[in-house]
Amino acid sequence: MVSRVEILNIGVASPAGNTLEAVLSAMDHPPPPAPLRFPGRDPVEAEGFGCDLSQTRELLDPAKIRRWGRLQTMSLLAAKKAGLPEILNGSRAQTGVYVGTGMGSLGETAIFLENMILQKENFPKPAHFVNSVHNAVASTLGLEFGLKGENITVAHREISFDAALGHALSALRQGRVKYAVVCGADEMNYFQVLAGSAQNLWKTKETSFQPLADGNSRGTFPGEGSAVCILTADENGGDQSLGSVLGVKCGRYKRDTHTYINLSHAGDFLEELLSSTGVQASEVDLMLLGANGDGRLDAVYRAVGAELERRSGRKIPQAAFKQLCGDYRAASGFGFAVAALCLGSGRVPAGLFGGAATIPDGSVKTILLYHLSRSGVHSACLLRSL
Amino acid sequence: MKREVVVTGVGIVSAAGVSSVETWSSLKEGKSGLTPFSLLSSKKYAGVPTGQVSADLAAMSGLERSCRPDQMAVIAARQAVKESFPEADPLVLEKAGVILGACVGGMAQSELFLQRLLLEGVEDTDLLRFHECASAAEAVAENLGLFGPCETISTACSSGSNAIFLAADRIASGEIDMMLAGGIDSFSRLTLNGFGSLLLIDAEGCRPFDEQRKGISLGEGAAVLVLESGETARRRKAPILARLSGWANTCDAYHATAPAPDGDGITRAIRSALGQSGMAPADIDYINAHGTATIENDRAEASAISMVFGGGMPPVSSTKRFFGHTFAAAGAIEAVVCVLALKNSAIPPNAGLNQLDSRCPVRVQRNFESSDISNVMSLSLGFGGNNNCLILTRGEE
Repeated sequence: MVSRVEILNIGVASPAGNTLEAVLSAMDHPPPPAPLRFPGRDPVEAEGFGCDLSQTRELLDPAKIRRWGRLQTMSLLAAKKAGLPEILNGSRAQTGVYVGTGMGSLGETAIFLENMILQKENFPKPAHFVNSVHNAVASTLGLEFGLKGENITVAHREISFDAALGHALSALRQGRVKYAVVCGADEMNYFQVLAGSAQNLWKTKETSFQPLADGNSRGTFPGEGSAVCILTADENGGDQSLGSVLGVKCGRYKRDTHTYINLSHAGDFLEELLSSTGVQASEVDLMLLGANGDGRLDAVYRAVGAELERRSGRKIPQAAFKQLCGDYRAASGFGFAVAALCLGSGRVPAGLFGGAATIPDGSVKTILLYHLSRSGVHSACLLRSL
Repeated sequence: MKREVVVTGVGIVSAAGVSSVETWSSLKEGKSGLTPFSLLSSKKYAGVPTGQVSADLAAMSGLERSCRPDQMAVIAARQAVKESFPEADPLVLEKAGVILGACVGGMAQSELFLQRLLLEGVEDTDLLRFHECASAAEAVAENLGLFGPCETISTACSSGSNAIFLAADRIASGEIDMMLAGGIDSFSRLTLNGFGSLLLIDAEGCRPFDEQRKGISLGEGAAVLVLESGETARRRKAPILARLSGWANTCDAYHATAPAPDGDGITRAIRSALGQSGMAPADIDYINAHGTATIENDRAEASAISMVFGGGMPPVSSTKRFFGHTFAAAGAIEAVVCVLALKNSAIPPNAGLNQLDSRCPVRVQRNFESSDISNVMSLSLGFGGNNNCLILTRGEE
């Protein structure tokens, strides 16, 4: 049994750009949220972070793009950018696909339902139904690249990607698959943005966006994206790996009336992950958090970070990444990509700290990612440079 | 070294019964749970045979303000835990986790949101509270006080069996001692119209493996199994209803909806699960097939079974006619059927079969029959060429 899993490559379709270079550049200078307009009978306008998919026709078959939903297209693009299928080196039958998506193919579901309601169940659109299933991305990745190993989709809010990653790690460590394609993807959609507006989820008057930095700000900006990483057990890795995944853990947190989350329980949760990987809390160089710019939620993230810092006996810098991609369920997949890029490039750009925190001295070798959902679940993932 | 995984409790909510006793009784009597559809307003599908749960789910669950999937999941989970802990309070559950398969979550309410928005201009966002599939697993965890992993698997119609596979994997690897695993789904107009748009609904009710079959009957339900390591189960003297001996998942990589006609992906899943269990095909005494009654599914599945088992094929039955096709719940419901078959030493029948399709080379079990079975196999298939195989072995008296 192997214990170390290496990150061979990563591809993204993201609001920060569709190349790793573009994302690295955006990490230094995060772009502001952009005006979004969703056409419809009553168009919806908001600010947020959308992907530019105009490049897809250069990399993917236009005839197929017409049949796919946005989520599938984003993920196929990210997979191509990650080097699929070339990197699999003739091992497609032994490659598993593990996708995390909180909301699935919202756009395709909405098209099917809107048509069903307005046409009174006449003239249904079967292609949109087929694309509406949550595992449409995973099965399309399997189909397009001939990946015949395990094919798993986790649809569980903000921990979707981490849970999918956990299953990939298990399959790799037990030798059930040789390579794992792990993807975190969610899309923006008219109805989701509209419902978010009605629930006051979105920021409306701010042009800058820096999670963890402003305690009084309320709401967040909607986002979307797909991140695909290719993992393998260490014996199949090589010098080009971006880093290694030491472990991942998902669970439910206990609530607390005053601090929202029971900090002692959350601290134990993180320490259990660390101890299962043989890492001390004091070895964590950076915490990369799923903070989304809503002051109340960010405060919870800061408190959990402070709890681990207290236990470690040393300062652990806290950074955020949703200023690059906006807030969406599977954004932790993009966070994973950001962390891997930091490890691979050997630097943590200042843009991740929002100017308020201290940039770590020296090199960052171990990064702990942490995400929570208001529904009561949380997850953590530990990455280390090679 | 992998740890042994055992089943110490099961719970089921279905059109054929809202407990394992009721469900087994329906299977024994050959009583189908299909009734004319009336649950949701649908001009097109009213009256079509479906597996609707008629029990008062709100009252049974005590979750009056919740949605049907969450209610069914909590009822099934409570049944399973009650069987697993017949005497003591299940305090050990705090460390346990839950993985459920779910396809559409509270979609029926999301549809109402959309309908009111589109036709009346009303934004009643409260209706979206249960939109996400994750809702049912969280309801179970909250209700039973579980703080281990809490996840939702959504691989279409194989979701429930994949949830069982992934929970078993966690226990076998030593990551956790106990998981509640299963599947859940309820009706929505999305699924009715979706499968209808693909011309996959049989207006006469599903007839798996029959020459005249025309498609599926939709259904709803939930099933939950308490899975735990054999060591901890024996230590606390829990009832060991069955052992989970093998599991596997594969992808056809063939088509978005149709299975590979030669059953290649299913064949690989069966062989992989057999390999993991250390069994030969001859060791399997009964196969509970996915058997949706679509032309393509039954032929592909039969090809795979025939390929692996050949002339020594054990009896095969699809129990979809009893429950309807319950999507994400299907694999979990059928895993519970397998546990009950082992426990009661009997093979449930393939209801709805008149004339076997000559292109489905399987040995179909037509009648309920007592049989001294030791190892059974449950197959599940889903959109996207998703295949799952579970092998269950007789438990301990």
